[in-house]
Amino acid sequence: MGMDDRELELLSAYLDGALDESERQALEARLAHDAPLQRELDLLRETKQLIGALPTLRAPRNLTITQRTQQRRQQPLVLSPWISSLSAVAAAFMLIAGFVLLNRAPAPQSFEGTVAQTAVGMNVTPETALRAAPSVAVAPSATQAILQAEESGSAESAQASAPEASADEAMANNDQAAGAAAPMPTLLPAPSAELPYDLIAPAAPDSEDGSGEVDQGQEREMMQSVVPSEAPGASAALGAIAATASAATPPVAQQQSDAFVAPTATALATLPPTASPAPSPTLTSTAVPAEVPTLAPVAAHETGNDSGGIVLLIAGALLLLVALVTTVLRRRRIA
Amino acid sequence: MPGIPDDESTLITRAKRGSVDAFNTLVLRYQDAAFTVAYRLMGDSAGAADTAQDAMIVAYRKLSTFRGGNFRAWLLRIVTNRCYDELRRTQRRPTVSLSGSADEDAPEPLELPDPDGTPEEQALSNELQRAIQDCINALNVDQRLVLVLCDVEGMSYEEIAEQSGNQLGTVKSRLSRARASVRDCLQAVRELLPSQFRLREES
Repeated sequence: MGMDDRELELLSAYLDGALDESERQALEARLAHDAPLQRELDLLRETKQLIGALPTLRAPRNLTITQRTQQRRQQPLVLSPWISSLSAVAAAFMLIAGFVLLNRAPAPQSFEGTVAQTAVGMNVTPETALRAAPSVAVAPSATQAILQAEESGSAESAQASAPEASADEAMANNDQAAGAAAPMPTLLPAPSAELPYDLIAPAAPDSEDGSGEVDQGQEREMMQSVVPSEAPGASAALGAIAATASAATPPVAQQQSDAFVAPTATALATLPPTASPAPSPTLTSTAVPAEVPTLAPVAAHETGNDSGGIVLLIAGALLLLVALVTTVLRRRRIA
Repeated sequence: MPGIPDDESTLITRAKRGSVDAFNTLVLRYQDAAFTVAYRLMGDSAGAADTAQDAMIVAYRKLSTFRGGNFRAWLLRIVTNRCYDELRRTQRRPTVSLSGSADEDAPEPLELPDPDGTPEEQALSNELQRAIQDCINALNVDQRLVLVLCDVEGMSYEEIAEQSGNQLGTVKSRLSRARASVRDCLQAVRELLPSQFRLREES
């Protein structure tokens, strides 16, 4: 059909009576002595009529809603894949950290200095973990910030000798938790570190409605947009905090514990839809601020490590349970 | 558009106050129209029913945003938006091939008897309906939307532009290309077409 797009548009608009008066007259004049053009128009008209003649169909079932289906739609926040993934990530992290803490408890005295410093990052964790645990939903930013702050803790222990410690991916962070476990902080990536990263990745980019916003406005429902849209900003802010924490050396403890507590704030804040995007990093921090400046004796940590480790393990197990339960419930709901 | 039945605004008011029953009365009234537009867009019966059902739930929740006017149009608009989103979503993560008819085993949706049908209006054979629908399915999502809104729903260019968030020019060109594609596509099943359509093509 050797027509160009413009001509096609003209004919199509003519069919719908969408040409203005001068365009219409010009086209009609051409149609009068242009048989091929007239035939194109007829074919297009018949196409339009055929489509228009398609019958109304009978709905194969009633589309009525029930109180229940109507409420089911309001659950996605709790049952969203986010919750499962993040719980799983957090659980993995806590379980690893818990094991690390427990195994590390009888630390060799000769490595006291290193260990104590390494411990800074680790010791704060149980406190935060405890806080994060009850609030079932661990926000993306929370996990990320925990991981990041974790990194800054280890980076600090490695100090100038290991600048590569500031790797920017969550993947690299987790194995530093493992690295911190060893008396000597080695920063080699462990294979297990990939697990949390993989879990974060699919959940992060766009949950369901991401594409919906494409180019249509008002009538789209915005149900799921709350959590995802906030997360990037929040985690960026936390990232910045974590970054400053690793930059400054002496007052690290205070800043770090801030960084650690902050994620909890977002975890709680992200849950209700009305959450404000910016987490306040200035939460009261009771998280072991005193330990850093004086390379505290290892003995002081041991009891803390034990109970902290156990608490972490329990919290991790609970989160794992949350991940499982939400996954199962979601599957059921879909099915 | 048919005049709004007297009790419709009463039903809407009750539904807005939370009456699921009142809302369902409205759903029953428009569910065939809703399913039809969903089916024309999605080309698959099960998917269309699910998406239309989803849209009803969305509509119930958004009822407070309905500010009067044509309830049917408002409802169908939610349905089409929902279908469009769904199509975009499955297009990004295709589970089934989009080309070709969705599922050969799926039962063909049933046609409603047309109360206004005059004897001269030759009903399309099931085969031809299927062929036209297949041709629509072969369009890309954006062309499909415009075509269905215009030639199935009978909306004006302005209404389509407003609903789809596109420029008038975009609507025009998409529509013309969609129609041309369907026209060409239908030539493959020429023998099903009404005779005058065939003759003109062959002449």
